[in-house]
Amino acid sequence: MHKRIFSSVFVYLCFHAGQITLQAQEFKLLHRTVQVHGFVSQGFIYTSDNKWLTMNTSQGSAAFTDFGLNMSSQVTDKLRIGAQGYDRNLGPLGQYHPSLDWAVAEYRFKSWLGVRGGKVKTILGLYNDTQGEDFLRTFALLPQSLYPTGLRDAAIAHLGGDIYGDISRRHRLGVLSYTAYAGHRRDSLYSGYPYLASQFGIYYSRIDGLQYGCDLRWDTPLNGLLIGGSRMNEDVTGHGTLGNPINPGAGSLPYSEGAKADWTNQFYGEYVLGKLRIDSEYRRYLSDQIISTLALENITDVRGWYVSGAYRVRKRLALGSYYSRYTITSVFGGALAAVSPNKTDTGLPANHIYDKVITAWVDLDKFWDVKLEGTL
Amino acid sequence: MNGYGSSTYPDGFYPQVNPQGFKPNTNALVLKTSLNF
Repeated sequence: MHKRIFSSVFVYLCFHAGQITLQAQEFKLLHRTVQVHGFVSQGFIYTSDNKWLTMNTSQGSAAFTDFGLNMSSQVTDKLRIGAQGYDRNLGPLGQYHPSLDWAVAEYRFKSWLGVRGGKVKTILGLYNDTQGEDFLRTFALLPQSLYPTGLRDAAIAHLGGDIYGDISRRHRLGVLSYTAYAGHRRDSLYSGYPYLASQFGIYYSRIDGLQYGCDLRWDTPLNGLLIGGSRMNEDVTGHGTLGNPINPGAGSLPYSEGAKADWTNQFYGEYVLGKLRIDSEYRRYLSDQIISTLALENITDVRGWYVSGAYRVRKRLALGSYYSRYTITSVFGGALAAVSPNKTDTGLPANHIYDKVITAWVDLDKFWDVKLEGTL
Repeated sequence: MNGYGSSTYPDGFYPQVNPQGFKPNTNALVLKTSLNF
């Protein structure tokens, strides 16, 4: 309750006292400039039939609030530090439980070699590490085929380290940027996956594990064209309790799950020409999960892609549209496979989501924008 | 949106808030406003 009140007050102050708050963007500490940035957003969603994103959207829902505050400082020419706190409420997700989005110390030895450590934003495709930065893009929601809103806090960062750099190639062959990382991922218990699992009587106390991967992107000699690919491997386990499916009155059983394989491949391209921006990405996510408590193996294969275009029509107005396709198959093995039928026909509506989106993005002023988005 | 995805993966359509089951298509209107500094 106190968190709700605090969050409501924060949102109110940001919207109604914005003109005062927005001026305070930096201060001095130990002779170093500390930059302060933040954002707050409020959404409303109405859907025609099914309820979406955990909210009661068929009646219209405004239970869609998030905000973040970050500080960073360039301590020396090569050392930069920063951190961001984040909070959200999305239907029953988030519930205004604040989290540390990222907290990083970054040291750049050369342009081609740098290191980061701390809670580091995970580079995966074009937008995973900038999911909270709405003001960077036209769309109100990122394509859900690749960036499901319910999983934002599961994917955003890892506790560990990165090495990264930019390699300028000779003969005007563009710039090659690389990132390699390893660390520990820990999911919020107020994220989409724990919420989804609660329908089966599974209540997690912990979801975490190893995460490592790399990203390679090429800013090509063709001005405005960027292409790249990302790979992420994970070894995530979940622990908690499971309601006794045979005798519900007998209390809960210990629950655990792990992965034999868990990886994501993502390939992407971006082309910016003046006021026009075109993006396209493809992601495949495969999880071979062992649910020890139920002697069940579940292989989930998710594939998604989208093509988007956005054009700034006027100084304060941009229009955008994208087409997105998402398919999922589930194959079950183990002792309880007989009661868990395989789902492999991606032509069925239970195994796909195809959506077409059109958006208008209006900048009311330098700090405040409104987006109106229709999804069919 | 054509389809509603899987009930075992958090892809946007959650059985808990759709206890009556899913319909094959959904249209959505999103209005979002943001402040940043």
